[in-house]
This record gives sequence, structure tokens and C-alpha cells, in this order.
Amino acid sequence: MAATGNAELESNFSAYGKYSIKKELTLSYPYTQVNVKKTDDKLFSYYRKNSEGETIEKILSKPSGSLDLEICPILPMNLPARKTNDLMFLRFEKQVYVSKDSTIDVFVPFPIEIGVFVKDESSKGSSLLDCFTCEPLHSRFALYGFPDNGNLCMYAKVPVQKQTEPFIYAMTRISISNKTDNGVLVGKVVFPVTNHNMYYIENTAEAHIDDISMTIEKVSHKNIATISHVEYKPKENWRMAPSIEKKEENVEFVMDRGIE
Amino acid sequence: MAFEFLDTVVYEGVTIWSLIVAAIIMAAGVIVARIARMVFMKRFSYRVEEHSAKNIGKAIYYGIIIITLLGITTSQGIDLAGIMVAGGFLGIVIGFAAQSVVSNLISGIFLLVEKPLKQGENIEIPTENILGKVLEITTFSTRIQKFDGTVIRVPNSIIFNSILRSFSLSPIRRTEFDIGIAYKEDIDKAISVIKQAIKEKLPYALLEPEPAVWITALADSSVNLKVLIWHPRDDIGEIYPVGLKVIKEALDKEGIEIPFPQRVVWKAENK
Repeated sequence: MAATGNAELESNFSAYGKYSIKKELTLSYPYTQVNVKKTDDKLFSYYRKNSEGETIEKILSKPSGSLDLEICPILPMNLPARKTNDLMFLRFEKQVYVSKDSTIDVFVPFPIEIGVFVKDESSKGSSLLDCFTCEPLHSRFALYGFPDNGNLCMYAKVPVQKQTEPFIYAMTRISISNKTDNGVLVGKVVFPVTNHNMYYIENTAEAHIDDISMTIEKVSHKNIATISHVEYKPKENWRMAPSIEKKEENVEFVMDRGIE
Repeated sequence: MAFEFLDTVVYEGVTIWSLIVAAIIMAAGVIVARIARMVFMKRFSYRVEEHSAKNIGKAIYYGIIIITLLGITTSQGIDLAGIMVAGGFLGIVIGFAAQSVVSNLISGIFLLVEKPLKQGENIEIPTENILGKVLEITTFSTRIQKFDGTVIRVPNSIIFNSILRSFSLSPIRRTEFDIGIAYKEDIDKAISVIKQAIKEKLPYALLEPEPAVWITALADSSVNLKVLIWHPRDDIGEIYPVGLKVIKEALDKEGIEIPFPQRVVWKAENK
């Protein structure tokens, strides 16, 4: 299944991309309104309101008199607060059956946050000004394992093999290899996410994140899965989103506390 | 000779000159001890926990000082036997007097070895009614900051001999609420409403393990429920103060009654 956005929904909202603001800009995303206005020669005000009426206001100083923003998908690690180091827990709405000695690819919507980056005037880089989510229920936590030895993870329950909802999900491909002698049911995947890159197409709501490889083996009568990062090869018009994460080497994670 | 006075004996073969040499060796020992502690703190302390590093630094410092003192007594021909005998009786007296000090010292050493608590951990000592964050573990005592901001000093022997409740060994912890619903209400619906409210309104509540609702009693006025919510260990402040409000609002919205205590009174009538 290809990673496509919902065109009708998309058309009602603003898009990812770069915005150069001279006077005022208003952007609209699901449940979220963003307004950036020039208030003085060198000052801009930033205002955001979400569906629950919560507002954020910030003041930016820009000696050049113009403000360059980049609005793009980022990893969902910041809301409601940064509590986990790098683990993401995706719970599939329906379990996936994988036959013995086989490999299947499943496309899974990956929850995202939206980052508002400000281009630094003194360098070519950019800094995160604000981030928000268009689906607050994705900003949740879960424990992988047991209270005495588990890992706290960011958590989202996601459908499998479904189209992404714009501004709520990016798309990712999970390649599941079953190297055991029996068929297995996979109901969740837990993996370190900070070394994953996010990509998007400017002026659209399409986003993709690096893929994941999951290899299931039987060790001591128990199914364990080794999760590794697979680099996504974007096409020409895809652009890598800026990131605030510290990239690690390709870290593997072993799911030894259950895969169902 | 001008310096003959240096050979003056002040105590059983100890001359003024030997005292000066002893003072120089002692000063050198103190400098070496400080440098050794500084080198340890800069180069190696990051490999151990902060409070352990401080205590190891102290051990290095005082260890070198003691070795220096022993070196001085040996090199200057000071006979410790007499002092030891005289000090023996004094030692017994001081030993009794300093029993609690030694007890705290030994407990402090055991705390460093066993590590039942660490700097920065939230702990509770139920028997002493102490609940707070460990600021510092020193040789004799531990400083704990209570959640009202005050800092208390607890002797190490008390900590070592008490039951400790740690809130930092697990990445998550559970908060519980008790509520009651009226007998006429649908229990399954009430549980569903409570779970949904927690999922939507309490972002710090873990979704796996998911919030649980137990029926704990068929009480006098209500069906009593216990709501159990797991959350990241340091975020009790995001759950406990608002949990009951969220649950009550959700039950109110669905028209589920939380009853007052009530009693049915039967009036006897003469026929």
C-alpha cells in the first residue's frame, strides 16, 4: 500500500514547508491555528491555539525585519513532556500474523508532532520555536516490560495498512521476518526512534519516516524480536526535516518482553 | 651556635627540630592529600555516583593524612606505645560517649557499599514519617529535602536501620483513587466512562498497563470503586491533584450519581 495523504482533508489546511513572513501569516492545521504577525520593525509575535482553547504566545526579535519559518513533521517525543530517552511503542490495532520462515512488509501510520523551526540569521541552521500535535491522544506513555525492569516509551495505537491522516501521521514500513518454526502474532513494536530521519514534501501534508526491520527468533522457548533502523530512500521532491534529536549509531533494540 | 636551641628536647627524645620537620612533612602531606582528592574528583569521580565520589574523595584525603601522621611518628622516633596505653583508657571513655557517632559512621560506610538509596532519589522512611528527595549522603548523615521545601538531616544509623520506600527504582508508579457510585447505576458503564476520561484528560496516565477500575465494596451508600492509574514515576503531580476532578466531571457528564451517605428509615406504625 502506498503512503498517500487524504486530499480532501489536506486541502482544508495549510501545508508543510518554508514560509517567509514580512507582515502576517495565518496557518491552519487540524484543531490548531497558528498566527505570526509583525508587531514592530524588528519584532514578530507568534500565537498558537489548540482545540482545547489553550494558547501559546511568543515574541521573536528579527533584526532583518523578515522571519523565515519551516513547518515540518518531527518525532513525537516532546509532548506532553520529554520523559523518555528514545523509545517508541507502536501498538497495532489488529495483530499481524507472520508465517514461519517468511518476511512480510506492513505499512503503518507513524504518529508525529509538528515542529515550527526559525531560521537562524547568523547561520544556515534553524532552531525549534514550538511544537504541537494535531492528535493529543498520541502524546501518551506506556511501559514495555514490567514495573521493575520495563522501559518507559512514547506510545500510540495505530492501524495497520491504512492511509495516513495528514498532519497526524507519517508513514513507515515495518519489515517483519519470522525465523522461528511456527507462525507468530505481532501486536506491537518497540524501537529507538531518535536516529530516525523524517522526510516531507513541501506544500503538501505527506511525510515519511525511516523504516524498521523486525526479526523474530526463538530463544529459550521465547519469541524475541530484534528491531533495527532501515534508512528510507526518499525521491527527489522529498526533503529531510530538521531534527532536534541527538543521533545515535544504528542502535538495535531487542524486544525480549513480548511481541504480541 | 645560633641554632643550638633546635636540639632542645621537649618530650622524651622529641626535639624542636624534629617538631619543625614533622610540621613540614605534615604540610606536605596535606598538600598531597588535597591534590590527590582534586585529581580523583576531576578525573575519576564521573565514573561513580556523586555522593560516592565525595565520600571516596574524603577517604583519600583523610587516608593520606593518617599515613602522613604515622610517617611522622616513625621518622621522628616518637614512641606511640606510651601514648597508646594512656589513650587506651581515654579511648574507652570516648568510645562510650561517641557510640552514636561511630554508629553513624559505620552506617554511612554500609550505605555507600550497599547503596539502598542514591542522591536525587525520592524516598520515604515510613517509621520516621519522612518523605522527600535525597540531597546528599555524607559520612555521618543524609540530607533529605521534603516536598514542602524544608531540608532535614537524618543520621545514617536511622536510615540504615529503617524500612525504606524508594520511588525511583521503577520507571513508573501507581496512584489510586477511591470513589463510590449509586446502586442504581450501571457499573460497567461507569467503569468505561472513568477509563475513557483518564485516557483523554490525563496525558501522563500510561495506556499500557492501562488504567484499571476494581469494585472494592458493596458499601452502605454506594458501590465503591478503586481506580488505579500507572504514570511515570516523577509525575504524581500531574495525576494526583486532578485525577478525582477528571473522574467526577466525566461521571457528572454521563449522569452517573456519586451518592451522599444515606440511610433508609422504616417508621413503625400502630395498627
